[in-house]
Amino acid sequence: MDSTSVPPPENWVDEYGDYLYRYALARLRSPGPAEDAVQETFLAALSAVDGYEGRSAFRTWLTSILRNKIIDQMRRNQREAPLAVGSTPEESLDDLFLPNGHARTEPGHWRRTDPRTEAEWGEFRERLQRCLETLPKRTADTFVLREMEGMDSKAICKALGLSSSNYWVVLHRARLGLRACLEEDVVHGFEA
Amino acid sequence: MLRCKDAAVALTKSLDGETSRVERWGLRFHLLICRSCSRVKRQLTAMRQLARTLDEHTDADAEIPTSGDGLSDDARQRMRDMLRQREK
Repeated sequence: MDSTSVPPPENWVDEYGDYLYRYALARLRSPGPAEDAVQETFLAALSAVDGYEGRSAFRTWLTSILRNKIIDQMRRNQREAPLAVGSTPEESLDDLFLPNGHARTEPGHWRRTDPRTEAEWGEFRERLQRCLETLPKRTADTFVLREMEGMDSKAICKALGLSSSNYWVVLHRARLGLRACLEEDVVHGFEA
Repeated sequence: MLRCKDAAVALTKSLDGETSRVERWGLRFHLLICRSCSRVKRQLTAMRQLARTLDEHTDADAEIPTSGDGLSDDARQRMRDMLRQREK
């Protein structure tokens, strides 16, 4: 194997630490777990580096390890705050609808303007992070794995221990919750 | 006819292309008559587009997926030390 394709481990933290940390932080929303995920990634990479065949960039390889460590952190979220057996608010949509089946809150009109500049994207990123933090952890995790990691429903159910029917309810709660939060917070507004 | 609450799960499934045919048609009819749910659908679609595009907006200099602070100096040092230990 070409030894120049694998950077020496003593350089890993400086070369890849920030990238991996920001990736993890965007998904885990919390500095502690994000740091843990990155540290575990470097440890795992150290053990597995002989298996790195250079088919993808080294950073890509590290990121694929990180993605699994992120899921491990999310699983820990659940162990620390297990949901009660049976229907809980997070597993049903009942509280969001009136007895006649209509939504409790009407969506407002979103004015047009997608983020256009990097500054606007930065603002949107912060807004989304803040809104994710208002959701219960497993609800936010479900959204993150679906929309940021692009995992499919089966994979997410397996990762987070959700049944198929719970998954759709939880995902929809995440989407509605974020929608409402973004709407409250909207300065620019997004076309819809 | 579906009420908004009944259409809700179908709505979220439809964003991911996982509706059954029955769900699809039920949802379609509901959206034809319900402006509120139609609006929610448009907003959810816009929101997911933004969430997915987010990663593309990187700091061009540093090639990082999101802006904001990186590792703290403490964390950085801790990880360096740990890797150095393990390498021995």
